[in-house]
Amino acid sequence: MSKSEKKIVLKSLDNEAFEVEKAVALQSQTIWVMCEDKCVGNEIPLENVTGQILAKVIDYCKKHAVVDGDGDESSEELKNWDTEFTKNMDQSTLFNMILAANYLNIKSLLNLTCQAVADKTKTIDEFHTFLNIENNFTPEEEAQICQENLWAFDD
Amino acid sequence: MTTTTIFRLPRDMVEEVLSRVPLKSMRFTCKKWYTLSKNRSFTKMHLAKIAEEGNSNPRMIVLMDSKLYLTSGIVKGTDFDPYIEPEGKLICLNDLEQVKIFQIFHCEGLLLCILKDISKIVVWNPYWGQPRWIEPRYSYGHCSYRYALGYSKKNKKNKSYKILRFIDKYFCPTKSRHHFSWYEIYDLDTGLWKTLVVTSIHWKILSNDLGVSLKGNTYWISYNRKLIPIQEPNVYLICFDFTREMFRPLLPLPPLPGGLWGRELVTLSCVKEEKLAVFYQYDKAPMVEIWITNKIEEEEVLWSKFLTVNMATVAKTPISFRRGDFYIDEEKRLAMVFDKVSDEYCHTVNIIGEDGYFREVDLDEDGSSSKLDVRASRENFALRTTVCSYVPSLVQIKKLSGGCKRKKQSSFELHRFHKKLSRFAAMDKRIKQEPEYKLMLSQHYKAKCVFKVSTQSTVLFLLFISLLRYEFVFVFDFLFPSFMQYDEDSLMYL
Repeated sequence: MSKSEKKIVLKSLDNEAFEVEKAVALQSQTIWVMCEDKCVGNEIPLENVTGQILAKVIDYCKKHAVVDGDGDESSEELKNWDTEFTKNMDQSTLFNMILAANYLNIKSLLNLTCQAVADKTKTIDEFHTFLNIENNFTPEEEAQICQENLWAFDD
Repeated sequence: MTTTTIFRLPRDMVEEVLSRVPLKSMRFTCKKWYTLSKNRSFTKMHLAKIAEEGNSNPRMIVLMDSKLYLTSGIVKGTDFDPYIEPEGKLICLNDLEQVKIFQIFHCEGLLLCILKDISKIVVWNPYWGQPRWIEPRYSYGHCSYRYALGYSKKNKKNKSYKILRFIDKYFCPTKSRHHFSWYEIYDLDTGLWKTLVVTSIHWKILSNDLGVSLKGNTYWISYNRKLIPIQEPNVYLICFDFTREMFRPLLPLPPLPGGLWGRELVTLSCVKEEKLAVFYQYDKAPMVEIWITNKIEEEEVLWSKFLTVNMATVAKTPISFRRGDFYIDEEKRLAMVFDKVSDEYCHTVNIIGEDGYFREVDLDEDGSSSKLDVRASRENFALRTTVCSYVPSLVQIKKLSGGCKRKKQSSFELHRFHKKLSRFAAMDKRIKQEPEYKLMLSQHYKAKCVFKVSTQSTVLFLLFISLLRYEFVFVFDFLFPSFMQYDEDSLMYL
């Protein structure tokens, strides 16, 4: 295999090009299918992902491509890296990451980002503030839901 | 760049996120998500996800010091120190003071909770959150009622949930003995109690055995009243069949070398709602054995040995379990034994496995302890830690239709009820008239002591202690000087 075949260029929605190792990019099922079909050359246009998000996705894939196969010892380290990776992302970035992970079909990244949103929104107040959602219950409806949820395991 | 909100995500992505947040938060956030939380496809996906997580980190409901906790047992392998992770504590929205729970019974995702205030019982599916309060027809005096939760199967899909409640007791073993039993069943669909006709009660369920539910029926450890314990091995398994509303024939327990004599610690548990497991600790010996069923049917049960552990070699000091509530992780070949160290106010989870694997997780010292708030108060000291494996289910507890639509108690049943109740009252009165030796130890601790000559002509010193509603009997045997804790009812044979 020549050197150029091992690399692949991903092009974002806003025309930013990223040259990455094929092994890194192929963690995305979507890209994998595109390569299998050979309907594209070495450049793959990704119409749904901006450069800013794609850069982050590539970071994630690089980390996971390297560490996978190294065995269990690094799984703890990888987990910590994942936590750091999503820790400071704002709401908007996280949702864009979810959309990208979904579009690119990277299951582990989708799990990670969905979990990150969930971790930031545990209480009802966090739902309202972090997710910007309005409480649209009437007092009667709220009382009704209270009745339905009288007993619960709570943190 | 415009900000992306959760509303831009496609529905399945929203569900992905929401399936990871506490249900309560989801339901209370907005109308849309409240509706989604009840949607069939969402709940199915959510439950599958919880079940998958539960496979690696089994979920358990723990009743400790009158409070209920949802926990996960994290046991990664022999190289990691295991721990118990708290996931939540039962909170009641309408109750500023926490409800105090006395006992729990689990049946496929449904919980029957007996409150410390014995006139109240509750059936609750933690997944849905709505408790159904049930009123017993009577709660009389200082007496321990026994309970079981199960269902009868009308067909594959239709299950009718029921509660069995009974008293089966020898009153006042000091002078004369009176036997009284009353079996009642409550149907959650009709909201009616009825007296069960149980003829020839030749078994006696051990008074400290809470029973284990398996496929809608409940199993207990019992002995055969027709045989005399101490003289011949006499410990069996008994099953209440909720479909036919009757007790099935006694089933054998796995053999112990030397036989089961009734002095061993024998407790039951279930494995993933498919198999039954039994835990033995030999009398005065440090050996622990756990067996699980390969097959369990009405008249046949096949057991295979799961674990044998010598508690004297694995632990620094030999452990003698007092309660032996346990939980089994069949894949990892481990058992978690919940126990309480008598002289300290703490709860311990002993994790035992193959090749001498042993870990002790102290719920008081562990990181989870502060969150769990488990330091027992003196008042709750006597209460037992109960654990049951928990897999959420979507079972809905039906609401009773109100008004004239509701079925009424038949006059025959009313007549039967009053007859039983007056017999019970008479018995209770007679007992109160008998003299007792009462030692008042403190406000909460009542005790009486009795000397008795046993069938083997040895003098026994009996100390009856009642702590709240628990009754313990300690027997001091002068021939083999030692204190034994006894099942109150088995004393009749001494």
